[in-house]
Order: sequence, then structure tokens, then C-alpha cells
Amino acid sequence: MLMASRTGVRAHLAIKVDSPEGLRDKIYVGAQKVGATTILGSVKVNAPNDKTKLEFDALPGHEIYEVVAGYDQNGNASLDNDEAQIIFKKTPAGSATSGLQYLDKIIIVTENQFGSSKDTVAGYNVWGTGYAGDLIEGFARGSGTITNATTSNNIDISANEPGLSHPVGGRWNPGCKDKTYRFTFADATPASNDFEGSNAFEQIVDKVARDNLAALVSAYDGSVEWAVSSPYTFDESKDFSVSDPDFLPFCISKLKNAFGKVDIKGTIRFSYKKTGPNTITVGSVEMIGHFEDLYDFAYSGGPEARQASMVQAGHATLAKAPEANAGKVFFKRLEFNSGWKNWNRTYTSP
Amino acid sequence: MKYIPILLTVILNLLLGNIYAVEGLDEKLLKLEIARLLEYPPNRLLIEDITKQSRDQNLKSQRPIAIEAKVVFRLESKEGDFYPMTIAVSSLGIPMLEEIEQATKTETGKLATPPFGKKLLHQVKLTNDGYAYIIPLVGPGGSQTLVLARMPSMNMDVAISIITGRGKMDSLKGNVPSETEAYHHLISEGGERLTERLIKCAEAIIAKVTQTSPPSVQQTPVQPIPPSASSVVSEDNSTPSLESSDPRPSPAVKAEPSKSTPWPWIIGAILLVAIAGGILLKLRCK
Repeated sequence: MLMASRTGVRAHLAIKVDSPEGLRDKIYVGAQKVGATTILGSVKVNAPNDKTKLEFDALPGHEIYEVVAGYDQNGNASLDNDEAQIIFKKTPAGSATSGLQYLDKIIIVTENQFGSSKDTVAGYNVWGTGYAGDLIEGFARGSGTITNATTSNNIDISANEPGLSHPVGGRWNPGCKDKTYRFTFADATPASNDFEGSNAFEQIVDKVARDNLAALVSAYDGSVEWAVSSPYTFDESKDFSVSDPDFLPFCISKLKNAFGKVDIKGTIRFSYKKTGPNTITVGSVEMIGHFEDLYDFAYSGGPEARQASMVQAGHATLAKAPEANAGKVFFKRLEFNSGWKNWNRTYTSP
Repeated sequence: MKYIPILLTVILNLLLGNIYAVEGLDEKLLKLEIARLLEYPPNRLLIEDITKQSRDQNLKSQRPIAIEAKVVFRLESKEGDFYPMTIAVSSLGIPMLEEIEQATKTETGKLATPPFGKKLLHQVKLTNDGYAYIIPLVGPGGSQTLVLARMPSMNMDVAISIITGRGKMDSLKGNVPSETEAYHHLISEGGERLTERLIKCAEAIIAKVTQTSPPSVQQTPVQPIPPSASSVVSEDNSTPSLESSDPRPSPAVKAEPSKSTPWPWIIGAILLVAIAGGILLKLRCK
């Protein structure tokens, strides 16, 4: 669980605790650093339907905490180090999946950490990083504009938005909703051109051609040598880290870093001729479409992503004017219209 | 037609003697060295020569490195828990990202004014006339760090790209074998310590290629550096030093810029003879 302080290092947790009524006055919850036994703060639990509010000061350095519970045996109205009996776990022991080892833990981002992470993340926008650098600085600074992208405002987003790694990055209202913006890279922008030259683009064309080969063969009537097909719609999921990996230090895939895995939707037309009973040669293709995704970070996604996720965590409570939108999650969209593109590939079915 | 600019670039570099000849670079020893610097068990590393794939890929994008790069390979682990690292060695200045090339083209030690909204590259001075440039590329889809060590006096660029995170796709965390914990700690910690190791890796490669002692990294960066990770190189005593007494023999490396070969002179002489012949022929015709 990733969260930020409201100011300084003071962490505020709200916990629902199921406890037997007769013993409730003696049951306390507290917080401790993972791997340590010192209770940093504790409070008597409330009834199950009434949230128990726990506060403690996060330790210097970036630490990870866990919530513990126990019985106040000595009656000193607090949970002592040796009284903590239970460590809060949301998932059954041993079932934590890879990449989710922080699921049961509390990660606190303090005000100072938010500020330093924000500067670090904004600093990733250096020469050579193109639109990937523009996006990450825009995220860190809360910029309402991005080079080569148009901005749409007042887009709905919710704390349980599909693909949102942590429910942070918005100032959620009681219904867990917020408004954000969308940056659109239109056709002919560098990002769009990168996509049109990508392996993912080629793979989609090949797949749609093969999937519709029988229809294409059947529709070819020979009235013109190069027939133009009807548009075929597609909806393909592509992970750019798989389709367009980096072959060289000199051939960095900005597309991969900026967009990751996306669902690409659109239409393809083929200019083709039948060259055998079950064979066509495609002379050129036209692909028009778009993809859209959320721009957010996972704490477990590597050192740089971790820094960015800490900025995201601090958005609601720590981002202040003139960068009040720092760490706000947003949507990014890429549109493409390849025009008629030379293809010259043959597709055949056995 | 589209390959003509590349071919012209290569021919020009042949004439100017700028093609770096790297032959016999012992990849196994280099792997050992890099594994040591990155604290990864070398016996679990795979080395893959991707020169051909890289050339194909770059021919497609019309990048001169398609023909020019001499050593391009990747390090990966057998189990897939090593974030792949790609290494390329080439002659100076040819194989760059356009934007980085623009930034590094200016006078030694001075960078061009960056375009609006972009910051200077992170630059660290090496000894001799070398510089290392550090370029992070970060997004939700993953992140990587590119270190480019540029050695003008040796007419050489060494570029290392390492993937430091796979973004939301990350599948390694929480499943790290104990013998590779140090490596994963290095990667997950990121920042200066990782950058320092990567620069040392680049220096190790330079040393292997040139059979000279690797230059050490100076403590003070020459540029005002943004307060981000991976900007200042500092000494880390826990790092096995390159200068430590390594009983392994030096690799058999035959590496020299083709400036020392007579080809440019031969081609120049042929051109001169041809021009002189043409003039004489013209005079006789008159």
C-alpha cells in the first residue's frame, strides 16, 4: 500500500479491525518498520464498522512499515514492543505473487521524499529522451501541456481505474472519482511516426492479412489488377517491450518506455492482387487507428519507476501550487494514419 | 537508394581512417569483468552476439551503425533474472542517437544549448579526454539507463544500455535467487552506484579493446548536473576495483584504428594518379 503523509513525516492510517467486543478495550493496533520490533505509534481499536485512526512518524530514510495488533497486557494504554502478536496480512501467507511483495506493507512517502523524488523524476527529461522524457517531466511537474501533444481536460478517472497500479495519483472524492487530462499525440507527431515504423505495426498488418486471407482471396474479382479491400477492423493488445525491444544502445525504443502495453484499435485496408489460388500479394496497406493508456507507475517497476510512484503517491496531499498537479495520473493517446504504405508481402494459406 | 547515405558515410570513414578495427575481443573475459563489476555470478550469464540483428534493425532505420559497429552483444542470464545489457563499440561519433549526437558535437567539455524544455545530458569527465554521458529513459513501460563513454583520443565510443525496470510488466521482483541478490540490489537501488558501475564497465571494455590500463573516473563532474540519480560518480570501496590484481591473463586483443593502415594513403595515391592522368589526357587532347 503506497501512501503519503499530509505534511512532514506524520503518517495517518485508517484501519478496520474485527475484534471481540468484550476484549476490545484492551486490543491495540500499531505500526512498526518491517524487520524491526519498535512500535512507532499505537491506538485502541474501534468497533469493526468504525475505522480506527492510527498515526505515527515515518522514520528517516525510505522505510517500509507493517501494521501489527496485540493485547495491552500491562494496561499502559499503548501497544508495547513485546505486546505485538499479529502482523496485518491481506493475502494468505505464501500466496503473494511475484511483483506484489509489498501488498501487505505500508510504504510512506514523506514530504521531503516527495520533493526530492519530484526533482529526480523531472530530471529524467534530458536530451535524447524525446516524447518519453516530455511525458515524465510533465507527470512530475503536473504540466498541463506536453510538446507535440494536445490536451483534453476534465476526463473522468476513478481510484479503481483498470491498469492503475496503486490507488493514488488523484484527489479522490467520496465516490473515489477525480478529473484528469488526456494528452493526444496526433498522426504525424514523432510518437505516431515511431508507431508507424514499429514492429508492432508490422505484426498487426500481418495478422489481419492472415486472419482475413480467405475473404481477401474470395473478394478479388480481377476487374483491376490491384484491388483495394474493404476496411478490416482490429483490436490487438501489444506489449512494445516484446514487439519492439532495444537492439542497441543507439536504438532506444521510446515507444516502449512511454506506452508499455496497449490495446491498439483501428482499421486496415489492403491494396492487393491474387497471385495464386490461396495467395495474395499486398502491395500497400493503410492503417488508421489509435491506442490509449493510463500514465502511472508501479512501485515495484524498477528504481526510476519507484521514484515516479512516490511522486504519484504524494499528489493528493503534498503537491502544491504552482505544481499542484505533480504526480497526477493522466491518459495518453496516440493516433495514427499511415496513409498508403508500401508493403510488398505475400500471404498464402496451406 | 535509401542506403546510399549510409554507404557514403562508410566510404568516407574508410577514406578518413575512422573505422575502428576490433578483432579478437575476448568476450568471455569481458563477461567475467562485467559480471564482477555488477556483482552477478558469471557462470549464470549468457553472452549473445547480436551484431547481425542490430545491423538489420539499423539498416531498416538507416542508421550508419548498421555497418560501422564492430562489437555489439547482449548479456543475459540463463534464468532470465538479469536485466539485459547491450554493449556496442564503434568509432567516434558515428553511431549515436540523433539528439545525443547533437548534444555532444560541440567543443570538448562544452555542450550545445539544449532545446527548450530539455536539460543537459548528465556528463562525467573521464581521464584523458574522455567523457561519459548518462541518459535515463523512463516511462510506465519500463526504464533503462544508457551510458556512453566517448574517447576522442582513441577514436572510440563505447555504449552500454541496461534495462533497469520493466515497469508494470516487471516479473522479477520477489523472485530473486539468493546468489544474485547483490546484483538485484544494485539495480533496484539505482542512482549513482549503478551509474558508477556502468561507467566502470565501459572503461573495462575500453581497456580490453585497447590493451591499455583503463582510465579512472574523476570525482568531479564538469557540468552542472540535475539532482537526479546517476549523475555524480563517487568511489565505492565495496566495488572490486579494475586495478585489483587479477590473475587472469589479458585477452588476446588486436585492436587499432585503421588510421594506422595504409589504405587511405593507397586510395589517395590512386585518386591522385587518376586526377593527374585525366589532366594529362585533357592536355594531350588540346
